[in-house]
Amino acid sequence: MTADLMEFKGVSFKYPNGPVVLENISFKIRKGEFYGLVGPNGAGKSTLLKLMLGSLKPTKGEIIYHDLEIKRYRKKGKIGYLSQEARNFNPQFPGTVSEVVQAQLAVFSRDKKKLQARVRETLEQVGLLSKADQPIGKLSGGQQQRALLARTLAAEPEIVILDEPLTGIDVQSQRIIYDVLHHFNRHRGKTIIVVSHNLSLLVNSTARILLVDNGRVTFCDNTNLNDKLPVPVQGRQRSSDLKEAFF
Amino acid sequence: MEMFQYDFLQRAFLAGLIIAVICPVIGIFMVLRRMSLVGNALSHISMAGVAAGLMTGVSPTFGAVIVCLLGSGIIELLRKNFRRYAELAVAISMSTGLGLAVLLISAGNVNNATVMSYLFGSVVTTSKSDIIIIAITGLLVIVTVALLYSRLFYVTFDEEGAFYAGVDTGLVNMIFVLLSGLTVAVSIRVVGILLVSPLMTIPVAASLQLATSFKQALAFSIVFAVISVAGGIILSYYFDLAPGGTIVIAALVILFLSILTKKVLPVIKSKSA
Repeated sequence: MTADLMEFKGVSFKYPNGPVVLENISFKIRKGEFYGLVGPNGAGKSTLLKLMLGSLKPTKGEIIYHDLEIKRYRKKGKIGYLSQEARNFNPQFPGTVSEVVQAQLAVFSRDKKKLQARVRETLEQVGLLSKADQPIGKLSGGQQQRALLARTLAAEPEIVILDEPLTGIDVQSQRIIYDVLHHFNRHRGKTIIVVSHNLSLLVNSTARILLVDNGRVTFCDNTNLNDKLPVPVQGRQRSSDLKEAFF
Repeated sequence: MEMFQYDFLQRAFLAGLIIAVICPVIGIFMVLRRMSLVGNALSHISMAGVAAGLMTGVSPTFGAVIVCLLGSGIIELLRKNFRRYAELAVAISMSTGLGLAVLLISAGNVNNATVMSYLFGSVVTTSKSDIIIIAITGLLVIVTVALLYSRLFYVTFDEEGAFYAGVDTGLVNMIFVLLSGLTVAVSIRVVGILLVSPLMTIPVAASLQLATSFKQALAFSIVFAVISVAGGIILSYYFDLAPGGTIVIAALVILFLSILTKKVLPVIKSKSA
């Protein structure tokens, strides 16, 4: 039986002077599973993500990682997070792809040989080994996203959370990112959570889907997804972009 | 060299070289984090410490160190409070420091010539105690940056990413601003309050024109700053110029040459190909 990695216990969240965004949510994220997080704009997806990452605290309830409070779990370098904004870095930044990829790993590891070997391995996986010595600002958008993913994965976090990782990048990079995430999930047993509007990515993978809607979180998989989605999306979800359907 | 027969010039040279190493080490992180004006604000704040030192008879360099440490802490707190208007932290702290300095100078009846020597730098009056303070600070800055290098690099590239990766970004930022305060405080003796910020930024700007990696940018900026300071002190001795100004002009010449090299090199390469 798969162990639990994260648990939401009766979590509610409300912004000061705002409405309740999430109400009495309880669910478990299991180790080594691949999850998709979907939901209409304003449903509370970003809030749920921030709660998972510990940048927001629940108004009620608690979130536990491996029996640890999020802050302590995060400080051990166990969480890998790739935000939508990560690509908005200073384009004049002189750091090379290799320097950027080892940034996260170097914080926790002092073994230079091991570090360099891990950076090479990860760069090879994302198809950027030949670009290792180029400044990251000189790469294309898709290549930059792959380098940033490599930075996140090289540090071998237990859980990888990605916010819209495929938005605005070329098809080749999308495919590589998708393959690398699956490799990381299947062969290294890492837990992956992808926030995406692109439902076809999530449905075509082995993903379990967390549907956020009206302050609630529902678990779906390929077999019952159609029943759980809001009415306007039913019947379209396998091939179309969820954004087109109801966002 | 004839100029090194004099003790005071040996001291000036030594102090200048230490500063030439630590200014760009701090400056590269400042420039890439778009915090260049923080150096400027700290140098103005240091003026209050210098004035307090001159008034009370305590070493003005020591006064500047204390006030800069306090000021850098306040800047970081203000930056957190005005997240979306971070430049406000610079404006507020700069005017507070300058206002306090003017108040203390006028109340304490401090000699104008002494004030000028701190505003524009005066290597010739660098004392042995100044050298000790500068050397200790230099060592502290270099060791701390070496220990925090990977964290500082990550925070500079992507602060949010670093936070979620487990880096204590609040602590790293606070240590960095304190190091910046220390660097500014000890540098004013040599290059002056008004000219310390350029020494932290111009060699970095020049290195960014040519470097192809972060480590290379750091190395180039130290080399450019050392050339600027050494060249500036030597030229100022032989041509009887103000050392602080000569150092900054030397740094600007290097910046101009690096921009030229960046523009001209590709043209030469394409013609020879």
